[in-house]
Amino acid sequence: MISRVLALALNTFREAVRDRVLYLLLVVGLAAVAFSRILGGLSVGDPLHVVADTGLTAVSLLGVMISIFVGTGLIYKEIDKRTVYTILSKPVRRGEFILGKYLGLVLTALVCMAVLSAGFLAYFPLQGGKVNWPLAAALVASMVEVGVIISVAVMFSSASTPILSAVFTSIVFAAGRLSYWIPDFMESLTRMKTGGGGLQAVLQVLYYITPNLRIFDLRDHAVNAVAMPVAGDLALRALYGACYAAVMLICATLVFRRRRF
Amino acid sequence: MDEGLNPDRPPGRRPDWRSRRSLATLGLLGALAGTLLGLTGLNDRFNARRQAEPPERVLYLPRGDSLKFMCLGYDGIAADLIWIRSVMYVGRRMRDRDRKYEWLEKLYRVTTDLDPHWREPYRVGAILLSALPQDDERAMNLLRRGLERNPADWQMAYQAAKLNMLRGRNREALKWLNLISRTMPGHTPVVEATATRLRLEHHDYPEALRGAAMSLRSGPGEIMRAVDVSNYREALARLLATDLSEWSRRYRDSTGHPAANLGELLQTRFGRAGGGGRAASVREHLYMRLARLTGPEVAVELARALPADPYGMEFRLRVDGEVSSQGMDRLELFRLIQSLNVHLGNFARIRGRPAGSLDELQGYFLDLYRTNQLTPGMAGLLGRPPRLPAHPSGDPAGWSKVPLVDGLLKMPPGPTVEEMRSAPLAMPSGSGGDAAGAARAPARAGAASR
Repeated sequence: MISRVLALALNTFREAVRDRVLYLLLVVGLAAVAFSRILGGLSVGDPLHVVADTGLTAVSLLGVMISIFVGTGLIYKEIDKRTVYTILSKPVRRGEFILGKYLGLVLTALVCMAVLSAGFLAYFPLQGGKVNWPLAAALVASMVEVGVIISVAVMFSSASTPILSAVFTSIVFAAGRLSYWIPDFMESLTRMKTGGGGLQAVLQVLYYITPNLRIFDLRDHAVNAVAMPVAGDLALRALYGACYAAVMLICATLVFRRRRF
Repeated sequence: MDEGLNPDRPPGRRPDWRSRRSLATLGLLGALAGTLLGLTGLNDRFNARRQAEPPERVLYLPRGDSLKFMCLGYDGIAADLIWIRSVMYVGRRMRDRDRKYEWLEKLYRVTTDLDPHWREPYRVGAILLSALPQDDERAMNLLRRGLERNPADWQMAYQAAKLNMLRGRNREALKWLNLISRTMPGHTPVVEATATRLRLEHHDYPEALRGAAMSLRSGPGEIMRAVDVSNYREALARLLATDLSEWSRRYRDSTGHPAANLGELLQTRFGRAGGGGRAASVREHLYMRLARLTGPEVAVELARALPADPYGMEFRLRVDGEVSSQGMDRLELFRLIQSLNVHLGNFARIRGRPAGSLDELQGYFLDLYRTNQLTPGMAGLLGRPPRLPAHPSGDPAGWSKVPLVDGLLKMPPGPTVEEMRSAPLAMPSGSGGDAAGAARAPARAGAASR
């Protein structure tokens, strides 16, 4: 099984790296990192704050863009070009196909993010910054976040067209980035005595089904020297990401199994 | 089509379609150049219009929390961009004649709401709010908000203290410095030295001494140590002079006559305030008080050295029963002479001859006052109407003992400022122990106390 999944993942990676959009995104990301020095020069006080912020944002956005633009067409393209018939006619389970596709795209995104991160980490000390553990941890946390978003994109891609998948994945990404507001909102509703039990229940469900992507945002710790969470806490966050991705891939498999070709 | 294949075309001439194409290309190039020129002009026009727009229209910004929602978690980069916008806003408004900065506070508020742990906008923002629109209240509010969000940031609290000091609100500044001392570890020795200086100015000598002793014990760097030692000497001199004056009054109240000298006063035994406990000599009472402030081992040296003062001179019992430090008085006299010599120099330059006496200088000050030429600095030193400052020793004939040579005042004979500031003195050291490294009090003073 592992060899089949790896073969699918490597083929997906090879296919994805041929996509010119990927290189365009990477070039834009590298340009943003280089441009950060100019922005930092316009700032008063600590220009490195701007450079670090721009670098971390560029890496995160690059990963999110790859997830949405490449990930959402991943399964659909196979069906559209009918290459899926060739694959599924071989002794490959549908779950293995989904997992292989997912891992291939995760590999692609990680390689791109690693290239941009390396560029940023090489550029940052040249501007007088210091590469430290929180900065590296923030970059790794972005990569875990991208792994979660790709799983969402693959799930939608197995069920819908690329455009709809891109829209749904973007909505889930936005909801995931803002889901930490839901408890505050529910508390406000309770305080104002508005919104019945139904609305509260819907919000509660929404809170649990959307990925809490905010936990992968370690920017504040890396840039503002806020104390880093302990290693155990970081491991729990990674475990949360892995579990959420697993749930998404299981859903994708279930949907994909019901599709008839 | 090749031109050799056309039998109707005369030889040596280009075909029509080619010349038409060349013309069309030229026309297109001309149109392109024209459009580009037009675009440049339009762009300049729009830019000029934008610059003329009031900043209220350019600077519409939603509230920080709304913007945070819109940024989808990328609030750090949004904060950076708005911070840069605020820098540009300040730069642009500084060129204006009216120099109004009505949106500055909002820009800082949005920046800090987006990135509440970024300390720079609080610190720099408070400086700019206080300096440009001179809005101290908003500057202080920005710092308070910053401290709520970053409670361990002593630099922000120090900024608040500095702002208050700039406006002459030293008591308020001292509150901030005390807050740093008590609740914010990791601050530099400058904070303690500044707090000690302010405490001295507010006559809070026990706390000034405690602060200076604590600072010395923490082992500051070479430069800060010199400042701390200076503060320590002054706090000690002023505290002991105040306490000895108080004991002198108690002596007079209980005996009906003033003490003959400080030696007698120091030996006299008094009960504790409130009547409890055994009676102790004034020297012992002072030891107990100093022990609480500097530590027992240093206090025993200091008490033993009395009536020597911290400047290698002695405390003096005046005829009015008050006690003063001769070292402090001499330093004060030195400072006054330096100030007055500046004015004596001006006198000589304006009148074309050196002043023959201090009465002439007094007349010169009065002339300046009458002609409204007294500067605020002079008024601060001399008052309105101007009068020569009293001699620090309290002696009414004190100035007559200060020699006037070639139109300039000279210090009366005695130790130099450097000698007084480096006089041996027991003080806490940075190695942890109170008496470790403490310089021994001069044997002369020890002998006198015994």
